[in-house]
Amino acid sequence: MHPAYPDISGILFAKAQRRLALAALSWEEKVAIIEQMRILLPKGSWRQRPADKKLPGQLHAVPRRD
Amino acid sequence: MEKTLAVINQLEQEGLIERYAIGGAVAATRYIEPIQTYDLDIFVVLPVSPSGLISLTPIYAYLTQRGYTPQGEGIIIEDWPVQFLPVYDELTEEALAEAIEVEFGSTPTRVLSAEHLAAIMLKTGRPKDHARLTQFFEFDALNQAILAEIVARHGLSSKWESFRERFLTENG
Repeated sequence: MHPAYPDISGILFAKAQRRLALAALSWEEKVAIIEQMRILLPKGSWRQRPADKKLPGQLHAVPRRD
Repeated sequence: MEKTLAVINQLEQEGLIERYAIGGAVAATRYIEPIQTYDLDIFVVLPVSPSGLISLTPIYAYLTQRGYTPQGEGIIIEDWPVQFLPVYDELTEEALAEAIEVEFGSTPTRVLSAEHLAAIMLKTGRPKDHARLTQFFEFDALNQAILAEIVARHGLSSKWESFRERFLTENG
């Protein structure tokens, strides 16, 4: 018996609408969003997350189960 | 970014660059949704020195004298890492020559046209270029007749066909 998966079409529709709304903003407003993104996630910061730090000789930051 | 552009305008007024226009992700953002980026790409035509050389050194000397700091491949100007990219082929030379005069806030500047950006992405052809180019179609940001002319003029027809087949057709 297949599980009953939720219908996420409403979520996908809302996301598509949001992307359209973002694209319709002025260039200045869009650049302000980019500037906010740069503040929230500075370049290289994802590499500094504890979960991403590797031990010597370790191939992957988070041990894989495969 | 407006303060950054004012400094770059100053470079042009003082003759350190002959002409400039914004390219890359910041330019693309004018036509589609905001894209995460850390750099402001500035395409430039540089004056040729008496010895026939083209160099970014005078720009960096001017900027560092004014307290701006080189970092990586670029230089930080008013909080934006700026990369100056001398035009490197006929396509980028044409893109810069035909860049659009706009205002950012109240500061005049130039930005590459959507069609030239699309052709540069097509030519560069990295996965992120293809992804971004697909967005230009998704947001109906291109005049396809103008793009077709640029593609033909710069020998990009086979790349265009390959991209269209892979990303813009139902079976791609």
